[in-house]
Amino acid sequence: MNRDFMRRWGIPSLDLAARIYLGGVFLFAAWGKVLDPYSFAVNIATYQVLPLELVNLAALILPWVELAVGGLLILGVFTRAQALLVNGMLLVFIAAIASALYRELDLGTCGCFASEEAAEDLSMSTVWRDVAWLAIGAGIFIVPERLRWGVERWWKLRSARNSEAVRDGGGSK
Amino acid sequence: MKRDSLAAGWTLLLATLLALGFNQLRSEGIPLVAKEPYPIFVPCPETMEEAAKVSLADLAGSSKAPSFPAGTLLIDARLPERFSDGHIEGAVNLPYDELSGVGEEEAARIRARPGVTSILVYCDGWEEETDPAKRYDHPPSEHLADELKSLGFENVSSMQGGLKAWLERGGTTVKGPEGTP
Repeated sequence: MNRDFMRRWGIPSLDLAARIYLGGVFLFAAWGKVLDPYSFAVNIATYQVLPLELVNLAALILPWVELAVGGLLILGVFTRAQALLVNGMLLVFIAAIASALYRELDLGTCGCFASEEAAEDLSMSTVWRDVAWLAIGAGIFIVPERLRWGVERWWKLRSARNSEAVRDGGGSK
Repeated sequence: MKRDSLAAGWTLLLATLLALGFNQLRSEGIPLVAKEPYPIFVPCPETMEEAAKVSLADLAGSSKAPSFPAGTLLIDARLPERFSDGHIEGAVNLPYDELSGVGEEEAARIRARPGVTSILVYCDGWEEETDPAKRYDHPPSEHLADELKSLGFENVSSMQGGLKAWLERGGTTVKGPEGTP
């Protein structure tokens, strides 16, 4: 395929699609947890990783980080930073799930005190799914900023155009 | 890379402030530090079978005072203290525990009871739980009946309305701690 076409349309549209998908996943995951931090706190406690003093703080803050990162990733605001955060979170999730599987914690089968999302059976496929998302996050990270469609790029182009207009205006005087 | 880390830091800060502010403002907020440990307990008893529910009206027929068919084993699913305070005569106490379920020993003892052809489980009578830490979706007696049925007991049912309905229909209770299965 034409190299110029790839740079102008191919990479930007693939990047945007990846951002909408991954950002959407995080927004969707965040929503229920934002509304029901108690259930999420129980979920976190069930992993038996964090000390009790930190469980509620994590249950309160993590969903909002997911919400902010998901939204900003889709909008394209500090996109590389959001990709870093997404992958950071995914690494934490992978570690937590892998350790739960290793310790043979029975997290998934009993939905008694867990929110609906956690009711899915926990297995290695959960880990592989997160690894796939990790790869998508890395892909978003390496896309050059000038090939990215989004609010930040639009803002830069706009201010560049404005300063050009100011310069041109000043020159004509 | 430095710019990205800085932006990531700002995003985290923003999310944290939003999270704490939102939690502060809403009525369903949770304390920042949990005061007591969360109930972590696995495995939960998984019930594969669903036991029937029987109302006292079905048992009583036209007469007001309900009676139980011969061979019915009455099981009181409440805590031992409540059982001692008053239970239906002849009932045995098997407190429902959502964490540990019915033990092998108890099940074996129930099986060993002679002449039992059916089991009827009752509790206090269901009232909606409002405490979020105790979100049961069914009365304990129904859970226990489901469990017993899952363990292979036949003719297991739970009494609708529980002890409350029993007393309302003129049933009496006896005191005393004896009555483990």
